[in-house]
Amino acid sequence: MNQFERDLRESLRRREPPADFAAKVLARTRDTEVRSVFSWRWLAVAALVALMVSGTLFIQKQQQQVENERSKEQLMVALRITGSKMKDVQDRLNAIQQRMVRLQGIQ
Amino acid sequence: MRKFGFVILMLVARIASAQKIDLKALDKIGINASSKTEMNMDGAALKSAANTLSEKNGDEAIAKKTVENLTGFYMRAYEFDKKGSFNIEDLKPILDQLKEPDWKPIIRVQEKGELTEIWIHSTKGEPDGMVLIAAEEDEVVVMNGVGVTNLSDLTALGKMNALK
Amino acid sequence: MTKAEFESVVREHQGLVYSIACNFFHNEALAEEVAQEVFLQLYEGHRSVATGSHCVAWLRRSTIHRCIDTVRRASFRQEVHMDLLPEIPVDAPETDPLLQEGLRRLIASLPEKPRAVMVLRFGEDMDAEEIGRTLQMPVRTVWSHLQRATAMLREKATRYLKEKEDEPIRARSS
Repeated sequence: MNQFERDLRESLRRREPPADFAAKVLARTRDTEVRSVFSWRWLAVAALVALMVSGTLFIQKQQQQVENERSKEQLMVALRITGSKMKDVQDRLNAIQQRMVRLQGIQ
Repeated sequence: MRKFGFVILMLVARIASAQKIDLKALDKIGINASSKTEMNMDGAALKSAANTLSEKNGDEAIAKKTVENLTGFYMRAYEFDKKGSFNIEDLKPILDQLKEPDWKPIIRVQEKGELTEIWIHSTKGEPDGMVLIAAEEDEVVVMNGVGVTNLSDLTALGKMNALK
Repeated sequence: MTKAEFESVVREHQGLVYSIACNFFHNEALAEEVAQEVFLQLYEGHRSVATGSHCVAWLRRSTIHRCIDTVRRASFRQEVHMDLLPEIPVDAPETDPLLQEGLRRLIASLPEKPRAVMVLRFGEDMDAEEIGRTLQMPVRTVWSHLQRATAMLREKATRYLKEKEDEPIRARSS
């Protein structure tokens, strides 16, 4: 392995997650269990009500939730792209400013 | 010496009236794009999407704060497999709209085939809209924000994508 | 598998899963989110794997595929702009933090398949056959990605240095 490949390996070395990572995973497993029991119960109730009243209403609500999640995801992507460009502008201007300061120093 | 970066971070666009530019001209550029992100959100859609954002999640909390007073958010982001798939001249219909007297540029940088511009719209001296244009040889991003936004929050969302 | 056993698996392998995601995205928050989802996936559907000898292989495979899917779903790539890269001397001494940071950014800018190959090769020390099995890719394709990505990264680093010397930046202000 040459030096550049060693550098690549060093840059990708193993790193540890935040100290509370395992705790967060376990907390989510508990949420999953609660949600799965809870949601199954309420889905059954909702399905029964929907059958009794209107099956369409239930489906519309599910579609709305899916749509909301999709909108949220789209918004986050768009904001991240914009934020990334703003950061590029900021970094570029800082670099230009530093060069101008250096040039002034030379003059 | 005044720091340009400081200027960007401290500039805040305030509410007055909606200032929306027409991004349809970019459809022509987007035809050849290998990757497209297009966003058209008016006030109601923004509010609906913002309601799903968590105030406890770092990224989402900042995003919620960024959009809470916006009345419109419109964006086109295109990537191209080949450099030279579009021409800077294709952005002329967008730049022409910014020639109106109420639009003022705060950043205009052009270097090595890359163009970056930020424009602010003001009504009676009060900022009330912004346009960001970032064009490189294989990527175009145009964003039009209408209403209130804090540019430092928006920039922070970009920093979320970099390792500390 | 009991909860305690699952917790033990998480603690033992959290570094592995998190590192793969972190090296792939160059984004700690996103890496942590994806890493959590991998373990949740293990918990919800594949607990038998956790007790087997192929747990590490399963975790690597799940993590890298989830990383690739995340990038594809988001339909945007994090572009690395050469102007933002710090100076990256190719012959820098070992443990040069600027060099490593620059390389991490470059790797995170690769298309997802070559990026996955680089992360597994240099981050996880896997050989071509293992990488091929993990990514369900022919070994010759793995080698091809490795060679092209390594050559491209090396070229980008040295070209950046040359461009900084030869071409002054022009900036216009309004």
